[in-house]
Amino acid sequence: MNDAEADRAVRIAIARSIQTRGKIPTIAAVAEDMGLGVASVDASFARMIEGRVFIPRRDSHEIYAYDPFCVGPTDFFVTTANRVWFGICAWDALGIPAALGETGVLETHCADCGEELVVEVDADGGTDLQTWTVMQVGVRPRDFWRDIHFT
Amino acid sequence: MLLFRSEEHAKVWREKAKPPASSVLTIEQATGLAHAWYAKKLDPDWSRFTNEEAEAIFDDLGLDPTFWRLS
Repeated sequence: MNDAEADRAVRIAIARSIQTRGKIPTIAAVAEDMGLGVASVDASFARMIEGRVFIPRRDSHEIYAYDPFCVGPTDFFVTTANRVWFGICAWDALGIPAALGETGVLETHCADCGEELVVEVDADGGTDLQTWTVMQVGVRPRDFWRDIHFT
Repeated sequence: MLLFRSEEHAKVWREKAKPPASSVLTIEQATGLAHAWYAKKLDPDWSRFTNEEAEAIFDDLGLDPTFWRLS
């Protein structure tokens, strides 16, 4: 198995963990699930970080955000049929229902006044009436990865 | 990426926070972007969008190309 094939298999294991356990797995958990050594999974994680597949924890190869899912806790939490998820930002949190193929309810706060905001999103990206709610993006997309933790 | 009760609240926040750049999306644009970006993330054959694919998504949603252009 070459690196690309190995990384695909690891990515599938990460996705399966999110879908079935509702959590982002550690390197050790993926290694155990796949019956592989930690070193080989760690190397795969490192390649995926280089390829911007996910955002690592600082000074680590462990996953902080396998976007749109974040280990959390954050101020962007999404409730689906039987789980609560965290998004790293509004864009990601709004994408959690889409990634799962389920309806979800995002709860967060207005970043200006702190008032609670609730947005229901269906699996197709539709939303209930939220006429005035807006999302502010403060970094140009071409600069997102310049300092991804700031973004 | 933050949510605000309204454009007016986003404007007040911008004046205080002074972000390096700014684009404000309606909630419909935001959910459309999130869906297009992440609907296939857990699929076995998922891959990152090319710049051209990403820009096509931004264009389809009517996002300002001066902010959203990647190249």
